[in-house]
Amino acid sequence: MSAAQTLQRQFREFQKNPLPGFNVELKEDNIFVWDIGIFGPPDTIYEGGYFKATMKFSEDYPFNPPSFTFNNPFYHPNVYTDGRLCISILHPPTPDPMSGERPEERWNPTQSVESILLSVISLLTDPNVSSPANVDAGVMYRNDRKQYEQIVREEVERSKRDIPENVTVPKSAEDFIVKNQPEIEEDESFWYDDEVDEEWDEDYMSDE
Amino acid sequence: MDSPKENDINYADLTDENIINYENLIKEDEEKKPLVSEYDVIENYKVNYIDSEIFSKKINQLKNDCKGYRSVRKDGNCFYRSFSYKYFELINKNKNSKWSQEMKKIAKDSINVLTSVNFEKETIEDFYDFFMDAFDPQKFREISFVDEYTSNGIVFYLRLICSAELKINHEAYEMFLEEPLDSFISRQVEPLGRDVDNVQIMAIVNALKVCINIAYLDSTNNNVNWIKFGEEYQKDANSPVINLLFTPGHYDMLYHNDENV
Repeated sequence: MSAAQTLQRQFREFQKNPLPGFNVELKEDNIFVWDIGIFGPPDTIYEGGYFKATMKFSEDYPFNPPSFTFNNPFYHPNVYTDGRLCISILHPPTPDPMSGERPEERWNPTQSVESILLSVISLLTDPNVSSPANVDAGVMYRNDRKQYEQIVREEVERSKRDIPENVTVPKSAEDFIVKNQPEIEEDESFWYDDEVDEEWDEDYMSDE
Repeated sequence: MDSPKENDINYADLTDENIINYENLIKEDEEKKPLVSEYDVIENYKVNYIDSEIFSKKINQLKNDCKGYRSVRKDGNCFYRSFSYKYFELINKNKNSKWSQEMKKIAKDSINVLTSVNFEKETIEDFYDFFMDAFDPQKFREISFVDEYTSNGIVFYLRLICSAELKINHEAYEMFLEEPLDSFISRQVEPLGRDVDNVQIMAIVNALKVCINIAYLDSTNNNVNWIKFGEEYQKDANSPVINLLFTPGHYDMLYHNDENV
């Protein structure tokens, strides 16, 4: 068993039950690098935007957290100017009294890509200004919300050119809600068949 | 490898930098070692790389009860790794015994215990599978404690078992804690690399219904001190006990004189 197998399972799960509001693909078929597209949530200043990001996983995932980096500048108190996201769920629970992060919010091998993405969405509109990665954005968010929102809106406009052609843009709040999937009669063993697993392995491993 | 004699260490030279360098050397050295060492006779056991008179004397005392040991890597998971290796080794040695069957039944049910305290099945299944695979003698020998990824998965699953027991029977443990239970669990129990206190040992013993006997070796002049956890789970003199050795900051495994190796 390896991180690659764990990630393949999680990725297949995403394909089977896509998370509304996100577009998830592998970068060049590499199971350790995921291309993420986030649709700006409706009724927020991010509505209509499409934000691309890259998640990188280590060989010992999920014992260590992945990294999450926006591909384009993203003006937000918890995003470094190089796009790296700073959020407690991506930090290992090492003792760090200065961070102000509660240990139960930090990374733990029972977390998943899905829990990270959901944390990112809630962080977008609810920044943690107590420990900003981008100090300017943190100060502006607090003192000049109008200008902060103006910058975000400009980024949202620019981001629209990144919307892939083959993707349906969720329009209403409804489209962002996980629907009760109709039970599809399916042979479960297909997903766990050893032979299938091996084929997947070879596909991905040969790229390394 | 020759170990330094205790008197060789010049304590006046122990600046912070020296200590950090020394710690890094030990860490690098540890990472080259197997997760679990081969069996060796107790005479060869070295405490923290140092030949010290007091520890030699105590190792000698140990010989009255124990003939051998296995060491595990010093990475903060030593209790979990020592315990789980010895646990699966004892079970697999006599797979069809009543005790082994009982142990397996409890382990099999553990995933239901975990989901009852709100762990999501999908996020813990892999670790559960690693743990259950170790009941297969061949996988136990060749993968479970050889492959680091799998072994860390087993350690992590044992941490989750401990976490669930602490939550379910919290009133039995809270009095030993200096912080709220949730914070203790997320800081001291679930993260890999975090050592155990007696509370975690008690929780594991109660969750898996096993008896652990630990020999404590410290640098005082007192004799070796044995402490049993979960004596109530040792139903008769023949039911297996997990023997461990504690030296300051570290747990390894012990083999009792009447144990088959």
